[in-house]
Amino acid sequence: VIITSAAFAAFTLAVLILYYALPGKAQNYLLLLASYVFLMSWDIRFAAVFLVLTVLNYAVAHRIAAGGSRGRMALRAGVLANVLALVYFRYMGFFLSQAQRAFHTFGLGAELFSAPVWLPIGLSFYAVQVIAYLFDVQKRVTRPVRDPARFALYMVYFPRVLSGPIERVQNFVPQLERRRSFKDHVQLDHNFSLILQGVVRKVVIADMLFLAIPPDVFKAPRAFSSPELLIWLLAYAFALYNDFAGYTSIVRGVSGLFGITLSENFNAPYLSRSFTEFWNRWHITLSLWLRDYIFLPATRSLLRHRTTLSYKLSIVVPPIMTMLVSAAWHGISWHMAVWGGLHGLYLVGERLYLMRHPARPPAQQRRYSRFASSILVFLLVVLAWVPFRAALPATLDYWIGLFSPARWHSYLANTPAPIINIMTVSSGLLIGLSFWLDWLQYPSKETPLRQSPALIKALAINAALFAIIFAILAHGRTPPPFVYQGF
Amino acid sequence: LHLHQYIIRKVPILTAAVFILTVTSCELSIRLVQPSEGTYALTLTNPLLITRYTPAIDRLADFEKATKSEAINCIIVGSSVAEYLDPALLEQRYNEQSGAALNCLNLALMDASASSIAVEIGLILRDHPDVRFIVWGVQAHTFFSDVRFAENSFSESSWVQYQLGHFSVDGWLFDHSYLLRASKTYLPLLYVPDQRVATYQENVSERNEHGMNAPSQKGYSAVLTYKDSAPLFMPDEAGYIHYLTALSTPSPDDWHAMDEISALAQAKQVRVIMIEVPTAVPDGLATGFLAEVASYARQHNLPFLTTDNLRLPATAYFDSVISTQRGFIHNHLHVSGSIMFSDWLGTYLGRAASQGAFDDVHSSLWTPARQTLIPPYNVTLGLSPDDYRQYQTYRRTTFDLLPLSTSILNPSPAELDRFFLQSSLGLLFERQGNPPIQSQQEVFDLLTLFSMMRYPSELKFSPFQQQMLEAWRASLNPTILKALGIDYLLCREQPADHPAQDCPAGIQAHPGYTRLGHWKYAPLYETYSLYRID
Repeated sequence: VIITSAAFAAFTLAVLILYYALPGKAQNYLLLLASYVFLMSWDIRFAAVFLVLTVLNYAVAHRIAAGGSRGRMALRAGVLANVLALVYFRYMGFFLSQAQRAFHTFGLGAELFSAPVWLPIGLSFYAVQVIAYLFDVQKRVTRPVRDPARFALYMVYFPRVLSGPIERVQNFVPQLERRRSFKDHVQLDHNFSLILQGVVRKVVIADMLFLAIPPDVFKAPRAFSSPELLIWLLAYAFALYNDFAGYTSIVRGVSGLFGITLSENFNAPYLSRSFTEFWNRWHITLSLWLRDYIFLPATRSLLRHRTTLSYKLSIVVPPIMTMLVSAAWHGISWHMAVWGGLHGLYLVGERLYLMRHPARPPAQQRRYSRFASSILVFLLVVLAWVPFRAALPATLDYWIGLFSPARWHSYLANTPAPIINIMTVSSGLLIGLSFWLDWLQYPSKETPLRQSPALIKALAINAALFAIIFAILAHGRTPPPFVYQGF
Repeated sequence: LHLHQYIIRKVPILTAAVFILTVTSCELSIRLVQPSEGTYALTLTNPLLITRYTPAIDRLADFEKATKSEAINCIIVGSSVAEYLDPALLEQRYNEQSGAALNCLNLALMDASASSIAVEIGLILRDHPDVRFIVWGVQAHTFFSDVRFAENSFSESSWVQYQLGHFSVDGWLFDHSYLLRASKTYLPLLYVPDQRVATYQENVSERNEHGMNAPSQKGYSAVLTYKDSAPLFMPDEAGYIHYLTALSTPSPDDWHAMDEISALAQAKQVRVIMIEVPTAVPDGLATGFLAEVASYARQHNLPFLTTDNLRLPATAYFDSVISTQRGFIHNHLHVSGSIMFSDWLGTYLGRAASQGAFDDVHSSLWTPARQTLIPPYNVTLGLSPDDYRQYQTYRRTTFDLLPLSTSILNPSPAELDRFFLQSSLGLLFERQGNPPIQSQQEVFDLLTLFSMMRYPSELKFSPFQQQMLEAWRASLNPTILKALGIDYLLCREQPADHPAQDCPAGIQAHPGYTRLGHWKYAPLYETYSLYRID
């Protein structure tokens, strides 16, 4: 069941009706049941995998909480088990293909291996969430969840099981301890607004942009002129952002209807003035996870040595290592490693620059300086989306196409076909709409038009509804799935 | 605040009111500008437009138009291979044999697979109980839907399925809202150039590249004549379909279409006859598959007329369509082929009717004995009379690649019919656009080489000589061929997606062979190379 489908809406509505008729503890059981039904609607095997991992992690967390050397052993075993599950289902294909290639190089049989063909949906999100939980239990940041139903629900809560947000147990589980009741129209207003924003971002902006982008532009960029490469790269950057931000907004809204608040994941990232700020605004829950469980431990471990070398290394290694882990989480491939490495280098460069030129508070910065920083960060982030999307050879071709003066000259000299057409104009409008939504939201206004008169609100909602209907009809075919749905 | 109090607050009510007002006013506007009934089929509210499957849109509109002026009781359905069946000739011969009066219309749809045919039959029988007789022309590819084709959007259309009794909200809305029809039809065209439309356009432009003129100008004396009262069957003389179809595995939907058609036939008391439309070069794979189809059809009480024993001359066909994946080759009938086959089919079905074979699907009548139909015109290898004369002159006086008395070995195991190869080339030459696919000299050279080439079976090798030939295939040793009395080789190279070469690999680089020439064979997207054995 795709979360923008009518089936998901009907499913949610049915669960909601039952939910508010039940007492507190039964509400959790209902959500747990609904979550497993939701998983089984994808594939019954997914439910089985998640059930096994949930039982395992529940037991391991309690073992860790007991402390001592057995606790530490349990932590290592638990983390290893989750990582192995992730590696097996998610990355085995890559490793086997590399092994196969190596065998082939040495003239050995190439068909020795076969990769598992199915990946439990959302497993990457599940794994990082539960690993964080195990560490937090070990560090006594939180106590292990006693109620198995609450813990199981924390693991597979259906609005967020597909693609996050990655929740910390201390934020999520306390919300399950009391009965949730329908509060007031503000709750409905806020959550419907989130859902509507999310659907507009996904169906109107992201899907329309994805459909506008020529299918071969990231496979055979040489066939495209430099201005086209630029336009479609921008379109991809906004399609990707709105796809994931739209998803997050929808699931936060749906969860809010159940009285459970999920963490924010995006906050106008393309308006960031530094790379650090970008990662605090893009996929926030993953960024925080990376900060807490990779970046800070790596930095602390280097600084512990108190040598000049380790100090210098602490400037360079943790950002690169963190971004490489992030890349690996997104997928093990060489082009993804380039994406991660590039972002690592951006962060290192920024840190080195800030060491010499400490940043002023935003209020003291000049407007043009803030604007220039935003543009620079935006352009470099967009450039890095090329290896995120394209294989390595195509990435090089894409960058050459973007920066080669000869290509630009040849485009301008050969009286090219106009690049202003319905696809590029509508893509520009959609990008503008994305910026406008960000602007409304920036820095933290989540429910735009809240104070507006009722008629304005009604007209705005209608405009959104018609845009959604227009987009669905204009797709004329099955819309693309969420990009992060396959993680 | 309770939920019901919230709902009656201003925003939800105002939102619903604005929405309903906007939608209703748009719906009313479209209904007001709706053209008259006569041009309904061409208006933006035609619900079939969403399928973008032009053949169905046109043919069903033609059918509605025809039924207003006459009682149609018989239809011919199928893909493009059935488009060339002449309903007038069929009904005339049927009537002569059986005494029963048919009034047929050809409603064959280009690219239509079996599932689309089931839908087409369902739509027609729903509204027209007069239709009692259906001839369904099939070939192996009928059961292999190609996802690229718009015909899938016809058979899968929620509105079409709704019309056939399969309820869906989408279908219901589409049936009742002109606004939705207009939006769904035109919005995608405004925004994303639809791949299916593009594919169809590519096919159309492909066929237009091979524009075909009136058959009388192209070496044939036979010209179709149509009934004045029902001139709806128009053979596609303006187009020359020559594209590659991408077939994969038999589609379950297409296979089960036989169940649906059989059930419809029984429920509506309609006679449905499946006809294997003949093809120039029957291949084992397609024949074996069609045998399965025939068996399944007969199990479901559908008579299946097998024609793999029927031979039509190569010039009965005007093209060859080769699939990229399964290698099925099928051909479209040329006008002369249409006359020959429609005549034979009408006669045969009339005889079957008079002998009561329709109720006996296992009757031997459904598997006719071997016979060859004779063309009612002079053979010119597909060339116009003038070009044919020029070819004869060229062959005698200009051709100097090798002596005309030489025999050339073509070791191809397929042993494609020489006459078919020559005629297809001649037909294509006459119909090629501008710029031409091949020059006149190239075509005449290849026609001459085909006349001189001999397949191993034609050389009547003894078993020992056949063993020598096999040894040559394995070793490429030119002295073996010399010992067999062969001085020249004509090697067929199939397209990139059929990488098999009929001559052993490595011949080009072998010092014992000199390549004298290399020719494209456009009708089958193949090439031929001529080698001298040194």
